[in-house]
Amino acid sequence: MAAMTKASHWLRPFYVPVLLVLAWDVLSRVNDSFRYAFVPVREISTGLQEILISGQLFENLLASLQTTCVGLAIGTVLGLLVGSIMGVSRIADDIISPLFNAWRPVPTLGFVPLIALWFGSGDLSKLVIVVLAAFEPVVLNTYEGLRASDDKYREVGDVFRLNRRQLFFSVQLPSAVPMIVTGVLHALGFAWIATIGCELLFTVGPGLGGLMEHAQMAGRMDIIILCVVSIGLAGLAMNTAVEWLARRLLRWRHA
Amino acid sequence: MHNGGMHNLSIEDLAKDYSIDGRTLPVLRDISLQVRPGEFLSIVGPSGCGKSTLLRLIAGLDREFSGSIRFQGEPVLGTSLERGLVFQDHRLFPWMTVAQNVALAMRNSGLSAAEQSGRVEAHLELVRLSDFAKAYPQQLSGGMAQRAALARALVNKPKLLLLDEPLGALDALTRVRVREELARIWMHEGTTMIMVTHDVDEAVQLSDRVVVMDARPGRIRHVLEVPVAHPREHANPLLQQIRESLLSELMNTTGPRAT
Repeated sequence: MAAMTKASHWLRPFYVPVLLVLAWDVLSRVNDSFRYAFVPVREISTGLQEILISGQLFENLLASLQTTCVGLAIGTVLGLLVGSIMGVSRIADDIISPLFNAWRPVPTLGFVPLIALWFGSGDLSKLVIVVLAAFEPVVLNTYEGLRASDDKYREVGDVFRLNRRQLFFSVQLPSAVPMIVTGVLHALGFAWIATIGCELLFTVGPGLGGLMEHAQMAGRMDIIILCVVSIGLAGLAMNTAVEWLARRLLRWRHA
Repeated sequence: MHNGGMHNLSIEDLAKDYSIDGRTLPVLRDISLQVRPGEFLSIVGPSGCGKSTLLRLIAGLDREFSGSIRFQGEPVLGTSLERGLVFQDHRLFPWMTVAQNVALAMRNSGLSAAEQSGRVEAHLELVRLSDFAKAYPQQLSGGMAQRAALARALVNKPKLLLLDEPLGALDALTRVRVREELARIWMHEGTTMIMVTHDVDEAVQLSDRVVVMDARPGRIRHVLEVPVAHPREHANPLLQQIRESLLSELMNTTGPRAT
């Protein structure tokens, strides 16, 4: 009985996808125009074999993942730096906050024309956009996390004569880590979206976005579907990996 | 034994105001108090009598006051590792283990790493938490967390330990246990202790002297001697008598309006 409950628990995430595939299959059999809009599942699996064997899927997926990871890493480091400075220094906060808050509402992809003008429409521009996308939530959460750091803990630091550096690294920053982790998780999502978005807009170099663009021009609906599914699954995998890392980092909370 | 008239802590004409919405609110007035080395002193009084504020001033956490606070002859201008402080809420850092929390207190002690880890071990033993060195505060009961905080405050071997209602957040049974622990440590270490409390029983049981304060503004009403040797039996008739007189006195300080 318990085993059954456990098994059904693991199956739960698959309920909706299976239903969608079934509905898709039914729709693809209605008539020819439906058949064009809802490519039959069998054709999709043939397409999958094709791009798996040719290595196209792997190559493009890897390129997109790489752009995201590098962009996320740079964006996180920069975000931690700027967020920390804003969180610790009142003067820096006064100088940077209004600028940051005016910049935030502009969608990251809204910077594409400007970035393309400055850096061309190559890999560097892609990376810059992804870095910007990752940077924003990390700054915001680092700043908020440091601001929310409890004065009670600061007093403890005062009692033990901690200097500013010790106070920052031993008290303020660790107390902000839960929020920073949330920021990095958001940054990952934004970086992945920005990566695919840039690849669709720039269409140079390898990447899932580029693969989609080409498939659209070639009328290969099956490959577009496969790309969408791959983007979703890769996003899920990266999110799970970062959440796992975060749980390890925040062991003290779940102890 | 306590080298004659030498005072550990000397407070003269201390006054403290808070400023709220531009208006000045007197918190402490005319506080003068001499504390002897090795003494256990309690401060009791109604809420709003400024007893916690007084403790923060002695700790050096609050630097705005008039009058003078001298510790071992030197004016108190800020915090010092010589003056430890235990807060009512344990204030352990949740992201550090018990041992790391205790070690943090020695970050600027100038002790070698080996000395530091030796002291952490010794002080966890002192508060009977050796088995929980690697536990996170989240995993401790209230009483254990407060004992860990006590170890953290004692690890620098302060000459003066300030305790701000250290047992206030504990349930009745744990309270009695940690109180006994505190008495044992005080006798063992010989540290001068000043404890703020609203628990008369606690104050009388532990203290050599009890300072009774009045509220609005906070000032010392009088200082009561508890001339009973340690360790003390709770049932000691003299303690019983002192408890009762102190309790009735505190009822009066809450004001004649009380019914």
